[in-house]
Amino acid sequence: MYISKLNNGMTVLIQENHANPIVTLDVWVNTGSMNELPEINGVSHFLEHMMFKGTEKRPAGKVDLDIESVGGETNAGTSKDFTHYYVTVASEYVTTGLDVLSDVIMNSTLAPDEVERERQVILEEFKRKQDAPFNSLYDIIHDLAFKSGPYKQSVLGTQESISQLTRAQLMDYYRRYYTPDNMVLVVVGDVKAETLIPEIQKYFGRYRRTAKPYELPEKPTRWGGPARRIIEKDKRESYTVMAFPAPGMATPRETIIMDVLTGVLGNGRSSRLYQSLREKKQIVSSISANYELAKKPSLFLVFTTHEPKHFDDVCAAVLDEIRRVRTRRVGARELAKVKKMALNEYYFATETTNGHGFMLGVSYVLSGSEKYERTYLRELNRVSASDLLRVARRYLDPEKMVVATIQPKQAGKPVAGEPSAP
Amino acid sequence: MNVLPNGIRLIVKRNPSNRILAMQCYFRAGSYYERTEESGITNLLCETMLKGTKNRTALEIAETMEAIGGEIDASASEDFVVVSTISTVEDLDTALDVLRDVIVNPTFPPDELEKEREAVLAAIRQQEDHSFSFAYKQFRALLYEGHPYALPVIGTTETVRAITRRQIVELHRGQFAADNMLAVVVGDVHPDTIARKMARAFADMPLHHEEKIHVSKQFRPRYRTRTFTKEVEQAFIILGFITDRARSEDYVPLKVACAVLGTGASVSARLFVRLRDRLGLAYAVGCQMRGAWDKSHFYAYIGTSPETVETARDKLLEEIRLLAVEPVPPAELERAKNHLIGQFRIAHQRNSAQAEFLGIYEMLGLEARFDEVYCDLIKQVTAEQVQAVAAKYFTAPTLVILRPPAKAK
Repeated sequence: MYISKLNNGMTVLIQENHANPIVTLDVWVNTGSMNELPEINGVSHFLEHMMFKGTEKRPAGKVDLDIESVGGETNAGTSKDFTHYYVTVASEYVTTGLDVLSDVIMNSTLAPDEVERERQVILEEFKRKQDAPFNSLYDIIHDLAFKSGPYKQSVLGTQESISQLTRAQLMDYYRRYYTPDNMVLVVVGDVKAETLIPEIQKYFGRYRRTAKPYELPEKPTRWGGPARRIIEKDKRESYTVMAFPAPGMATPRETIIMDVLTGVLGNGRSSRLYQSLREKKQIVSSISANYELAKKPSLFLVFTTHEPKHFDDVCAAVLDEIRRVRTRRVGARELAKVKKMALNEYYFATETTNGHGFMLGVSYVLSGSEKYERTYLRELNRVSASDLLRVARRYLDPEKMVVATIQPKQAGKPVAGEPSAP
Repeated sequence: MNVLPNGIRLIVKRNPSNRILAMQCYFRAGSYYERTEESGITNLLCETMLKGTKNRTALEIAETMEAIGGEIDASASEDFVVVSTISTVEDLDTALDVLRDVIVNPTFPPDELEKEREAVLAAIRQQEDHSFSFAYKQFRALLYEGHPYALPVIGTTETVRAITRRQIVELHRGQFAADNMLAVVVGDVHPDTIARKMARAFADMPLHHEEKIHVSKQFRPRYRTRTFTKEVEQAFIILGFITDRARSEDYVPLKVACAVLGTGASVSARLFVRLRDRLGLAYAVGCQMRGAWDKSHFYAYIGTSPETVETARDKLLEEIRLLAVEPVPPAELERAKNHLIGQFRIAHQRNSAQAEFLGIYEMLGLEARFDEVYCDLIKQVTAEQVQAVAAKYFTAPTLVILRPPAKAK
């Protein structure tokens, strides 16, 4: 991998991969909802939407048109820690990609009428999230699990904050955080690093910092558990999420141990949660575990679907498995299996340019250097059974469990379809 | 295409750029071949297939694959079944051994069948809980009324409850035979090696499958609409039309017509630009052209506020109908085609995806060669052809609306 810094402070990572004539350009901005005061909650995500709504050179719609006209695709994502924008194009159009992406990131105009229109789109996105059980639970569980801290609030914001954000607030935030020294450009695909660098310099090198990030009061992470919230909705199944504390990037090795622990508990059909709850006890129809890598201490999450009557048994059975990893060492064969799965998943993810770009970008932005990604597999390989025991004991505290569930209002009443007038 | 001694057809695409191996075995079976009262049987068979063989328990199947960091899956669709593995090339033998074991030797243990039956029933309930899956299922039921495609692949609560183990065993015996199997392998393996290994692995497979008789149906376009109410925050509209089978000459022009409107959620195409960007009616809006062995269909969808349902429905229809009225301007046509070609290339990055394209084209009757000529065929489509297929098919829509109950005043 090639790594370089432009003279304006922007970091560039290039991973050549000549398997297909395709390249992904992925700009990572080191900001997300963790940098938002409650009154501007949702600003990072709102801004992400606005980045495709016109620049000084390109009117609204032209950005997408320029990329899709050459058969490329654009997309973006916002999290609590970061925001990123990527373009995937045939490698012959890499310059078009650089031109459009740099223009979008640096010169978006946030035209007032576009802000208003996009506000409606985001409000629709908000409603859509409310209807999707696990998506709405994701926000609820973060709110419940953290009494305070950078990850308490939602990425999307609240209906109120989305409705009230002003263009001036968007612009101010944009100037403060979208600065070259706060960004990483990740390039993966069919390019030559040495010939691409001057092009990158040409498109991204001329931008300078215009304003400084907000001086935000430190938001210490305070755990909100144990806690439990039961929500009734017009649904036919129960959707439950359980959360436990998990490490952040201050202890990078622990995050990798946590990845392995997540594999032991919830990756694949032979994993412990799947075997116990779905196969032996038969109290869930699906179950998985997830640990989201983040800068600050984050969450270990268990997602499950089940019949409402099994709620208490599900919680108890998950806690049993949590207690087990805290008291007994994981056997050598199981550990080897989980590591092999993690290794291959890593390898499979690099099969696409944007999958690989995501891994490189997220590791760099969260850890602040390329070392985390570079040493990941080696560190993964080093994880021992006593590491797992130690990290499980330190974080996965059964006494702290936070659980939120969406369950049917009443015994599943079928919805009636009725013909209506054209 | 290679035909093995026992009749299995094999396609191998060598890819020396990585060490990932995708193996997929296709069978012509699926909900299209199901009788109404056994709806969902193929899906239930697939779920239970991985739960025990003459040589391995369910846990052993999972552990063997996961110990090599691999994956195995079996899934049913309308027109075919696919059993697939992903592993590294180094673990070819293990992966192939498990793959053959679940295909040739499944025992469908009664207790595992009951477990999977419950899981499928839960999945049916969960489909009802998600706006898109609920609306799409209702849409298909209405669109294909009287045709096997009207039945959901997953089945209905009633039919899934009633399916017996004997029926599943019979379905397996009847369909998982050499002359009904297509194997597709993509990875860094020599075609001769894989042919030899496949021939050996599947040597004891039954040779002939049982022909399933099915009746197709001629559809006359007619306007049909149905509204469902649920306590949702956002209303959801889905509408579409029946088109000809995938191997008809209209299929590629229809793909282009769909791309002009916005395949998937293409952000520079008409639906996204006009309904989302200009009118702010939606976050999610897009369309799909779904090719099928018998009758394909086109559908468009939009998630919108309960107050804007009528506007969104009318605008969506207006955009679709416009295609039949005016030829698409050259620059826009070019963009749509480039977008399709670009997406096609981007989607071909994974070995498993490459295998899937080859397998699905073959199962839809387009033949694997379609994968090679696809981009050229797209390039040749004219504005007149797009207009003609739009006029031919996009006439009387089938429309499903999901919305919250009207608020009491």
